[in-house]
Amino acid sequence: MLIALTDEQLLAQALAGDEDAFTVLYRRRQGPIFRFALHMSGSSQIAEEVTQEVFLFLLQRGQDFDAERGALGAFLFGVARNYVRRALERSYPEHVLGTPVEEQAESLMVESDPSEGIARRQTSTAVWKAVLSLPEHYREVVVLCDLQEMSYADAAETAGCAIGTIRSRLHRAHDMLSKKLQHSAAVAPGISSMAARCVS
Amino acid sequence: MTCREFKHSAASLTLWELVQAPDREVQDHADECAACGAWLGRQRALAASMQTLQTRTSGLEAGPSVERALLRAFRQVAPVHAAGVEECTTSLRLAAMPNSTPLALRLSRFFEIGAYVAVAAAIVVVVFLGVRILQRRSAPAPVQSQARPAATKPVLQTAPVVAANVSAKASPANTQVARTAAARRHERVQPAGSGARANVGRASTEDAASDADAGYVALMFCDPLSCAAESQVVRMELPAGQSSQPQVADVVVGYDGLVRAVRFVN
Repeated sequence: MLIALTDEQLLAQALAGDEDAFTVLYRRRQGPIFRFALHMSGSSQIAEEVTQEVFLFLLQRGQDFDAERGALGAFLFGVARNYVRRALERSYPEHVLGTPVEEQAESLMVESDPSEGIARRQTSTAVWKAVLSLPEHYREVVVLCDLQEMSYADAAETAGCAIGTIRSRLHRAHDMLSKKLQHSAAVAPGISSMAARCVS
Repeated sequence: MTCREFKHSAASLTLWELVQAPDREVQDHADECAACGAWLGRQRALAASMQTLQTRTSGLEAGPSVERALLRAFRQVAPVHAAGVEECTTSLRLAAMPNSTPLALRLSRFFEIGAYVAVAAAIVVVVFLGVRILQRRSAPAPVQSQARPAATKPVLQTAPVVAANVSAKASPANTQVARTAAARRHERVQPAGSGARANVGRASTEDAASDADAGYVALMFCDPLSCAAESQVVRMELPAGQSSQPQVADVVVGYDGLVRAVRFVN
């Protein structure tokens, strides 16, 4: 029954005191918010804190949400974006640029082929480090458009800028990422060939 | 399609659209142009890498402790919402935070508050010290009984003091000199031997003052405020220079230790 409701309807019921509606809304939206904060910060602690702050904000200021101005999902991403920025300003750089992929994603995928798992892990580690090393406004559009698969319009609404700005930033960010990944492949050329060697 | 048109078309597509189903014209141009083809190849490699990362992190979610903390906060705030009362942000945050906020974060906040306290304490100390220094500067410097070497370096550096303070001695000559200096500025500084001075009339005092003034040579220009302040006359014996006899001089020393005037006695 509740699962069929839209985000806006769930929010209205939650603000009226319906705990089940709030739970459904939280479980529906917490994953993308958590992953956005995780991809932006590289820290699961910061991501959990941001997720909690976003839904606390929804409890406190949910009545300020105006459905005519945009979807609830974009509203939550906008709130999360601000909390991520605050958390990044507070936290130490080494906390952010640690080794997140190995800790966070290792236990998620059970690879049928172990050699393929190693290759994927190394690739995702390199990509995530490259994403984390981008300047914040470039990282933001990469996470929103590429990793969250958000449309340019939604990303522009979340980031509070024009669609053209999103496009240009994304274009520039892709060029920077390609160069960084090429550089990392040149530094560690054995990564891509490791899988082939293990298979053979 | 030109290279510029190719870039323009590619920029309007997302990474996934560009890799999965590019426009036929875009693909044709990439096949013809080596540079654009290489660029499209890099974008495809990047998309594959991003997809790997996306796949590996797609199952990540916040831990159950976050949901528990939020539900606890919701139960606190729900009656407030139902009653239509403005909710208390602090209590809501406190309800959610204790079990879910990482220890490192709480410690960082503790140190942040400690840093603010330290800065405030430093400001208080600086203000206190500044006030003390200002008070010390504004207080009048005590008048020293002996001449300082500042204004009359060649005279006072090597000169032993023969007569320290006229006011401390009751000899007639010293009394006269002291009275002369005092009469010229103020009548506040009076020699201690007031019994001898009591017999001297006002007219004789003025005469003596005019006589004594004639022998003094001013050593500095000063404003009326500082020259009107208390001063003392000190008799000093100067070392013998080219002449065989040592020189004796009366020096008028101001309250600030600077020499106002000097008179050679012999």
